[in-house]
Amino acid sequence: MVRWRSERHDRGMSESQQTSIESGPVADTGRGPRVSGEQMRDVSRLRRSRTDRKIAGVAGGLARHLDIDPTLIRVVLVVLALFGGAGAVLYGAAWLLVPDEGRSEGVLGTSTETRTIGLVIALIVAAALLLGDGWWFGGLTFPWPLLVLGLVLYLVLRNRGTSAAATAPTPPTPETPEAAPTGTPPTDPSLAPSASTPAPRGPRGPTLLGITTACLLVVLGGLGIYELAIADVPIAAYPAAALTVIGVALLVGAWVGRVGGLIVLGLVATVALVVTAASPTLRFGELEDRPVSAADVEAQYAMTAGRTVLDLSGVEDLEALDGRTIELDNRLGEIVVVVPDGLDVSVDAYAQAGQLDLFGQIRDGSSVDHTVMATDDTDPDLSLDISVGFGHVEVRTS
Amino acid sequence: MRTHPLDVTALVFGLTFLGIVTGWALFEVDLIDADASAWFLPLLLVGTGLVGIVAWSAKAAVRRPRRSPDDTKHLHS
Repeated sequence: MVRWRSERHDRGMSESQQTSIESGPVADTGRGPRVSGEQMRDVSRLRRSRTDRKIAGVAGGLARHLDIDPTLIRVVLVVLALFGGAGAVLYGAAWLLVPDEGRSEGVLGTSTETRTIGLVIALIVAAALLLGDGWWFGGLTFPWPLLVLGLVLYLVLRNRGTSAAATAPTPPTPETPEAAPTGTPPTDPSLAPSASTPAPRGPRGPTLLGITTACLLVVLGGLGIYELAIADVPIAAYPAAALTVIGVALLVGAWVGRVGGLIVLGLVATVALVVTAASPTLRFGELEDRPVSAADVEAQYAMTAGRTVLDLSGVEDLEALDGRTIELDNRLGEIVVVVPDGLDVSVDAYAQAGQLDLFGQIRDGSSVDHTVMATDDTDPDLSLDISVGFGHVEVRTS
Repeated sequence: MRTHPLDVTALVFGLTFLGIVTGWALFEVDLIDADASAWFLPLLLVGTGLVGIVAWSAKAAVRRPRRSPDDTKHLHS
């Protein structure tokens, strides 16, 4: 059975047919442009796209192999890259192992079997990275990557379902262009546009993406103006405002109009909210503080990504630090605290994933927690409350 | 305003997104602490999931009796 989707897909499919001719015995099946499940499971057919590439054509090739929108593959890869680097591992493995279109060997020049085994190993490594990595939401370690991935997959399947359903109820009759491919190649330019006229899919009505984007600009711009003119807002307020607009638009769209694209937009805003909510400020780079008096020591050193160095060895009035607590937070990177002799420090350190080195006591892994209690009673006491997302914490004596 | 049959997916995602923002806002103004916010997300997902199930069931229940021969003919035309 021949099903037509959008014009974009038709072009994609005709490319795929051309590739099939080059790369495998598929073109002569006469099955029409859709990729069958059997072809999809045959990993050896996977090629990197030459025509649809941003880096190495991995997403374009994979999208064609799976017969889905390459944008979705790219979103999934980027999300996976953010969560523990699984996406980067997958992309790198595919780059090295999967051949370019029209070629039979990848960069590494492996046999087909070795290539398949290598890709399976890359998948396992990626899954391990993904499962070992939670995301931080108000103290909760939740398998965010899995949730986001599940949602994206659901959307992919939903889109496939609706586009199939939209074309399925119309049986091909001699008058409709859909019956034509029996005698006409799908690339016939006079035929393709009419054949691919988008069938009404799902709820009808004006699409809400444009108006929602306009509202987003107004709200985000307004928030920016508010911050400049009136008062500071937490950085997470921006994705939160965006998510509110998208959420309201989706509720409206549940009854009126079409919500295409809004859910993906909402997922992106959710990820942005989660990342920024865990970070008190948005600050990148290097933060180095060598205070010379207790009054110069801040209560909080917050960093989004980079390196924080707090060297307390220059503080002259150590007794003024007695009873104080210093909070250090870095979502991605390193925190180094240098403690002078004559200061009794208790440390409470946490790393989402990484290494804690507290006075030579080393702990590493994911969700690492380590506490070093003050021992001496005569020296002034100072508490350090340290938290990193991904990275390294070092507390040492000067 | 012209409406169409309920889009359950849009409803569920809309509620979930607004719920996440609400959770963040409550946390931000210290109305709930870290422990409470740990409960918030799973409860939110269960809640919106249940709304989705109910909405989908209600939609299916409403749609079924309407399917007279005239309607199916209309669908295929």
